Amino acid sequence: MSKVIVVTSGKGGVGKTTSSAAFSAGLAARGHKTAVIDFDVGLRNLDLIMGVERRVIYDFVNVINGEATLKQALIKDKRVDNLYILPASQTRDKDALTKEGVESIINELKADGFDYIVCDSPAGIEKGAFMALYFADEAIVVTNPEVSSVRDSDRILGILQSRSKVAEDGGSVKEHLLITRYSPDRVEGGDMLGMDDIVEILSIPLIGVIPESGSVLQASNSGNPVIMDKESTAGQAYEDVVSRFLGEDIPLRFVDVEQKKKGFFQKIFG
Amino acid sequence: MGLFNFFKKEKKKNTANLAKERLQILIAHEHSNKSTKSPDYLPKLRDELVQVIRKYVHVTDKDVQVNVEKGDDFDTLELNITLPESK
Amino acid sequence: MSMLNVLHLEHSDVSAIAAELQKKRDEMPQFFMQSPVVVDCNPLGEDVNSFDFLALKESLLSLGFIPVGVRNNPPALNKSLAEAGWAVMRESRKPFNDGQTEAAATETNDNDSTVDTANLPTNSTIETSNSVENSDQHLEAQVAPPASNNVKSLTVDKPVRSGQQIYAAESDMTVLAQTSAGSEIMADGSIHVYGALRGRVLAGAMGNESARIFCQSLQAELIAIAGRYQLLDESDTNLIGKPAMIKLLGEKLIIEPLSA
Repeated sequence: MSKVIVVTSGKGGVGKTTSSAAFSAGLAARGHKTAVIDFDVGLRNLDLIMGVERRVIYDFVNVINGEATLKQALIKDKRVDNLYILPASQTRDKDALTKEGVESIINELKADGFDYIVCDSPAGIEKGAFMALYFADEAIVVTNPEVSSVRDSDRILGILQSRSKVAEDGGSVKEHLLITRYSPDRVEGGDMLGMDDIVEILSIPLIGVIPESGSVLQASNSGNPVIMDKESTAGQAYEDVVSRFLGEDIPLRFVDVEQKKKGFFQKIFG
Repeated sequence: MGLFNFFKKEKKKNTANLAKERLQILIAHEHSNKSTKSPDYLPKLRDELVQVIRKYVHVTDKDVQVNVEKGDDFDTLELNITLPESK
Repeated sequence: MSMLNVLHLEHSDVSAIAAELQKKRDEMPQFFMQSPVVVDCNPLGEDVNSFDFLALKESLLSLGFIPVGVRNNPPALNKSLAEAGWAVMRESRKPFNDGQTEAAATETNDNDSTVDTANLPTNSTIETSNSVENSDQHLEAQVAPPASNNVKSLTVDKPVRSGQQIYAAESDMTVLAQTSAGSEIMADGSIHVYGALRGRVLAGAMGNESARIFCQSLQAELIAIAGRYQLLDESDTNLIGKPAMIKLLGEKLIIEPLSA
């Protein structure tokens, strides 16, 4: 039974694409056949973060318009088996996405035996974001510890539970909160919203906390999903997210100052 | 400690350079795509090929696949026609 | 749906009306922004025939209101109102020309029900006032089923998120989850919230003064009963974050602890 997961946030720049890339690569690395779709038509970036930008020939919109088959447009990842990327069109705009078109692609992916279909949503609450979440069974809501991001996440949760297909059919989309760019030191210093505050305000289950880390930028520079950087705290935190998504109960890491300091010293002396 | 910093710095510099190179190639490519070798002609090419092939054998639209593989120095046009089983 | 504001036309000077509205709006810009307005012609009397409804509509729009419709206008004006882009609304409570007395009677009924049921469980307060409203509608529309089958309640079991509005028409509302900052819940009856109440909450939206608000954790941005509203920030209550009940006493919103 395949699952459609939307990675969304409302606000831009919080780490949706980074998280989509890491999460889908992590699922695939554990043997699940995974497709990740870039819904940001006109401003595609997933291909860059995944390092496949030079292998894009056909895109999402070509498939919707029948100008290419899904098979032609899917890019098979060379590093991770079972991982496929469907890039967005750079030359069209979001009106090129239709409900029927998106549905037929998702159905075809399901029929092809994909276990997980990860939809990387664009920012905002316009058509692209709506299309990305419409067919979702589950949602990963990416939130930064910052007031405007939290409010936008709350807004997108409302849209998710009222305008998605599952909601229209009377069900509810399973929600996961993913906090990114978290700095335990700044939380400790009182300058950043703590994860407990965010969980209280949004009141949805937490699936992970990704610490602020230079390795995220390094990973995007080189076009490798950060989850492949096994040394980095961010990469490990994303591994934990994948584990929790697959049902494991594991404690949070890199969320308080002591733990982080200890890790730092271990790195030097250990 | 000094050694550690040195490596760290070097690593960062490397990925920034890598990012620059990737972007240069990408943007050059997108520009060139716009002017001359846009793959936009592919769907039309495929349609016309199907028309021509149909003069001789019966094929459906899906039996003809056209692909462009982008290489460093040259691009390859790949044509894949599935013929119906002969009786 | 949002809060329905009713503009009672006392005179026919559109620019003076606009100035008054602007004053009112500037007191509470967020509250009135994009809120729908219904215009009641009843106080205008005969002057209604010469009233410039097109100019009124433009002033309302420029002030950030959303003009919705006109009620209590003489039927002869229906056509010209439609041409000026107004919807003509049927008044459910007060038939044209006989409005004042009917309305007064309704209000008395509402007050009575508060007194009568002051010591009863809260639900019955609303059931009573609901049936009052229903019987009014029954008279006017003559299509409503008997009041006893028509007591409604709305239960919301999911969080009400920022940007969402939920309105319980002619009904109480019970919310079993939280309401977020930037959300808005409204009911013609009372409202009960069992999660944190963080957004706007408007009870008695159609003017039922006996409606009340009950919540487990009062963190609302704005509270209102029967059109009397207050920012919680401007209130001197010490019940923020605590279980509370809000009721209307005269023109004043009273916030009381909700004792178990």
